Amino acid sequence: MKDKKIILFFLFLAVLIFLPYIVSGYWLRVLTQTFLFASIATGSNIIIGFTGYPAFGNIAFFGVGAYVTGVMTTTYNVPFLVTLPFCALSGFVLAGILGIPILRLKGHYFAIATVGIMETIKEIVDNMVETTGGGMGLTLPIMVGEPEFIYKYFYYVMMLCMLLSVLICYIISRIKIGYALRAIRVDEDAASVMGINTPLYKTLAWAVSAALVGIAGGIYAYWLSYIDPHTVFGGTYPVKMFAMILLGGATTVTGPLIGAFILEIISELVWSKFIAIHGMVLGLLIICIILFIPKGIFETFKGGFSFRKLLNNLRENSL
Amino acid sequence: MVLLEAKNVAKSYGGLKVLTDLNFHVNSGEIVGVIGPNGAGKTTFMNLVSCLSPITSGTITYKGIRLNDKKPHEIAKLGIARTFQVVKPFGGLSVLENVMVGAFYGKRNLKSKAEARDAAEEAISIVGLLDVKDKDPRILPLAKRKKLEVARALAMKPDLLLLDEVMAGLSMKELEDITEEILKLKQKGITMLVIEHVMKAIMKISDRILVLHLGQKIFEGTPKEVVEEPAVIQAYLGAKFAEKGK
Amino acid sequence: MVLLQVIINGLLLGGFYALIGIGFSLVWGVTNIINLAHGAIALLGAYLTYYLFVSIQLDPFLSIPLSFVSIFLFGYMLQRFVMNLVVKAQIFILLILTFGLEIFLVNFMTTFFSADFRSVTPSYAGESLVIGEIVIPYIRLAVFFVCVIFAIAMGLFLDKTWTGKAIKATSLDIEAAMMSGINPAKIYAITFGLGSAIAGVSGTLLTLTQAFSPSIAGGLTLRAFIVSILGGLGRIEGALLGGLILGVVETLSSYLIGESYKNAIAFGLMVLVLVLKPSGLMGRKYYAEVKH
Repeated sequence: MKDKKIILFFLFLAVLIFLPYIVSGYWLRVLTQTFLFASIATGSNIIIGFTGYPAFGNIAFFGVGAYVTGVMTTTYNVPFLVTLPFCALSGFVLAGILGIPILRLKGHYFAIATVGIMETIKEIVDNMVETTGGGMGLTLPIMVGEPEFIYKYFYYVMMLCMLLSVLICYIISRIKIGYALRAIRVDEDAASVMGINTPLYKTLAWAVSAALVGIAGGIYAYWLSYIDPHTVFGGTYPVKMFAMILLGGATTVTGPLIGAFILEIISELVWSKFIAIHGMVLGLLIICIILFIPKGIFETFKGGFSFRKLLNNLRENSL
Repeated sequence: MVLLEAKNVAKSYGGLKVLTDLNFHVNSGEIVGVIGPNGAGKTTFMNLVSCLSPITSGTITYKGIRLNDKKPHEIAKLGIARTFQVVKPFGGLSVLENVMVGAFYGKRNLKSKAEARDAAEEAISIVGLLDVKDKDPRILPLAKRKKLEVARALAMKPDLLLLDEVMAGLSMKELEDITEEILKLKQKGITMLVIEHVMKAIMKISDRILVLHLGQKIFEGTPKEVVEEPAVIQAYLGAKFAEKGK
Repeated sequence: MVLLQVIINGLLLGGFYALIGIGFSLVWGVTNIINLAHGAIALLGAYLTYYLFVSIQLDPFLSIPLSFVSIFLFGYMLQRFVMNLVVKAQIFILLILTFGLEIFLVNFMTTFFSADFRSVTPSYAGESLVIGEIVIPYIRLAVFFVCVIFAIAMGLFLDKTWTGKAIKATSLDIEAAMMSGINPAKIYAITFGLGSAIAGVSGTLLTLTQAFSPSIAGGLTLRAFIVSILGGLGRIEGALLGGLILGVVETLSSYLIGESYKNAIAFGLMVLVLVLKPSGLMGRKYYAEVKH
């Protein structure tokens, strides 16, 4: 069973590596975007799924990463790849500091406090007009090269970012700290009397999660070569990220990645048909996921697809 | 040698006093039973020892270390382990993984997964759960979940084990099992503080018994003395026995 | 003197915040749903008022009952046929559901009502009460009083009527309430309907005091949230106090520091209250114990 999964994963990887030589530029863009979401969802899942803290505003660190790369490449002419460790570091440090007070909150309170952090950082960036360009946005230097090459370049860089997130999640789930996080998720009191330094581990989990999301932000900024506070802090990112995590299964390593692939490819297919009302369709799609498959597709369809299971899911949480 | 000592310990929530002026100690190697009717302050005292809630006044010391300002995880590292009255297994983790958490983070503080697995299997075999070690604890019957709590605490390699009503809701056969296990643990040199409602069992295992009533100590002595003490019978046993029609 | 004017402006704004917070906090306290679509629902009331005003010149104050009733029905149906299906799920599942609803509603409004900023200006819009150097527009004063009246009426409803008592009972102990013959599905639907109706009314009042577009929905929701946190969950008095504090803090900080940091300051205040006093400034066990 386990071996089968690993073989499947490497097969999937092999396909991804060779895909750029087969598919069109349009699909390369779609896939790069999918990798981006897979990175964000997988990275955020460390705090959300593993530790059980619904960091709704985790996208804040995506924005921070985007602006770190943005400011470093424009103002200080630092090469793009060199900026990425700084994206990770800024996410790590920021979440580490903010985590000490904020992670004392639980549930709804924690979720909204993270949204508060996101909005606050957004406003600060919005106001630092001289370095960030404020609400007008920031234009990054465009990469030199053939469009063909640039497409492939970002495809692979984003894929590596996604793989890094998956790798770190995998390692965390295998080692000692993974057990601590899972214990915290289920029962924090029980975890602490067993000797788990819960504030430390929660903060660490959030910091690692923020670092990964930060890297994704940095790559995104250089890829699109234009960022503004309203797109990188918030928008529909948080809810898409959550929907992906739920769709694939929050407690698993690869669940968010699979969720990202399903949701992004569905959206892409749907978008092209309903451009005018795509927001409404996205909203409905998310509502349907929550209603029918809140436990993720794997948990729900273990042993085959059936409509009865969807209805059972619906009945389980209803009043 | 005195292992755990409480001096003038009091606890109140707002204006409500749940424990007042509690003085007592636990010696190394002893089993001390704590009894008292509901609301006597038994679990409150246990929460104070494991530092889940702060002490209002007084001090608790363990091996001469003051516990008042410690965090629960620091207490665990000092060698105090506990179970919960309302069992709190980590659902989603198998029985083995549950116990591994104890081995990883308790006083033993193991680093490698292999070591933790060995330690966990040892603890699981002590309580006799080897046959269900790969199951999710949420599907186990109550008796087994209580045993899991004990195994998890044991994997931490504690010097002092706090057992909060591990016998409530068990059948006669299961009671006998767990009583025997507790006595075996005593032989291994583990000191225990046991909160219990099941009188027969606690009389059998305890060296000394502390009787709490409405947040105050009303008596302390051997099981034999406790049954003969009029104040205890009045406050606790009387009511309890009357209920059972004895 | 300018400072006094600023504080008065803040209090008047605070009345509006209190009203939008009351609906939010009621729903949260009783059903444990954080309704991220609250602001979008308020805007439904705003658009209803706007279109009634431009098509048949109905005075916004007269459209309050219409807003109340229609948005109540909307909220009731939504809870009865959608939210009740997942109400026992984990909290973030509910969060995403309401966020999905928000995205849907905002995009619906953008598609059909356009993203343009709208406002309603009745003939009497420019008149003000002048006391010395203090200027208070009559409209803002009237809006403030409508908000306070609604808050008091809501409190009386919960305290004095059977339905109100059933709502409180359900929030305190849903199982005990069921034992007493209360149908929680219906109570939840009524609660959500009421919360939405109040949001709808605040949307109606919003049209009179500021320009609006679907894009401000998120901002409204977050303010409703801050008000609930500041005042403590599920308390009418708490929401009133929270609203007034938020209003004053926002206008004061805009005046002293500048418009640009007012969100950051409001959030900073909220996070501070959350960390220092999680039950809110007036928080006590009331509708519901704070459920984590």
